[in-house]
Amino acid sequence: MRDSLTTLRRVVRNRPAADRPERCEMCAVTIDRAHGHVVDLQSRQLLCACRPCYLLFTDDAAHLRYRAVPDRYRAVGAFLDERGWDELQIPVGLAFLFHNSALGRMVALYPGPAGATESELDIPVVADLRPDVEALLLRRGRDGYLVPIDVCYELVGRLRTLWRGFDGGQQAHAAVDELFERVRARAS
Amino acid sequence: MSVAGTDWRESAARIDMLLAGVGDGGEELVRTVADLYGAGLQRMLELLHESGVLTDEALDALAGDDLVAGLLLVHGLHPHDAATRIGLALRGTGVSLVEITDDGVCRLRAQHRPHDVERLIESVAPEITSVVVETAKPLIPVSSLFTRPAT
Repeated sequence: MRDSLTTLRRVVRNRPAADRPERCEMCAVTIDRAHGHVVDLQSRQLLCACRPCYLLFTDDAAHLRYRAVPDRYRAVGAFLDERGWDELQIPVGLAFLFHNSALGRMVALYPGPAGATESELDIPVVADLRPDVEALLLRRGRDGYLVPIDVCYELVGRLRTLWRGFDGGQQAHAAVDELFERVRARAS
Repeated sequence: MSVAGTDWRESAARIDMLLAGVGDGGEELVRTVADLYGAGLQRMLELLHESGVLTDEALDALAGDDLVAGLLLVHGLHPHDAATRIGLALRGTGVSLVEITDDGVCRLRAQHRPHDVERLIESVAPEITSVVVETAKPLIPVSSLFTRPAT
């Protein structure tokens, strides 16, 4: 019986998806781990893009379905005051805001176990923020940064896998701290 | 330290048990170590082949050893192709191999559906994706026994 090696066979054969090379979702060429993203403005999806495809969509004024996510980080401090946070009605002290050009207003989202949840809020459009591709990533009573929107997507994706209980639990908090530390280093 | 003489089946079962306790990170560790050993095994076979000692007898001896054959299978290095391995494993079971399709489906023919044949196939040919068993139709269809003849 060779059956006792079943586990080894399974482990060696079941390679995680990360081992496969990533591909540009526009032209299918293989790309590095550190690659740019473009936002599909209709479906709000993020697509991995190679450099040539990314550069096709960098013009903010162009009326295209896709838009390249820029690489800009800035510290914005406490963007919302306590009242602003209360109005957001967000159960966790973490949110990101972006200008949705299709709706013509700011949209606030907060991460949770089911992914990003949208919060209704009437806040004026932040002029400096590039619509659809940049976001304000904020922690209540602590700090805030202007970040590329793919950073927010990454955070939401990670928190979804780590979230435990009502407020996320220790692992989720550690992931948030780690991300803010990385963003802070990029912004300074 | 040598593991020769100790029961390797026990080690394999122990890997199974330990892995169940540690989760995904453990799997990655085992995979990385196994990959290293697999690369070593492959290099060994290549070197033996280059020096011309990998004769048919030598290959048969490797394939005939449960532990060596099992490890070669883990790394896709087994000297016999899937059809040969399956044919050997099915010997004496009354099941015969019809074909292996390009997408890894193994089609078998048997009088009765053999017990646990998928497991047997998986253990000798892990590259098989699914097993289809064709059984001979009984002479009188069972369903006809339940229909009342017209009066």
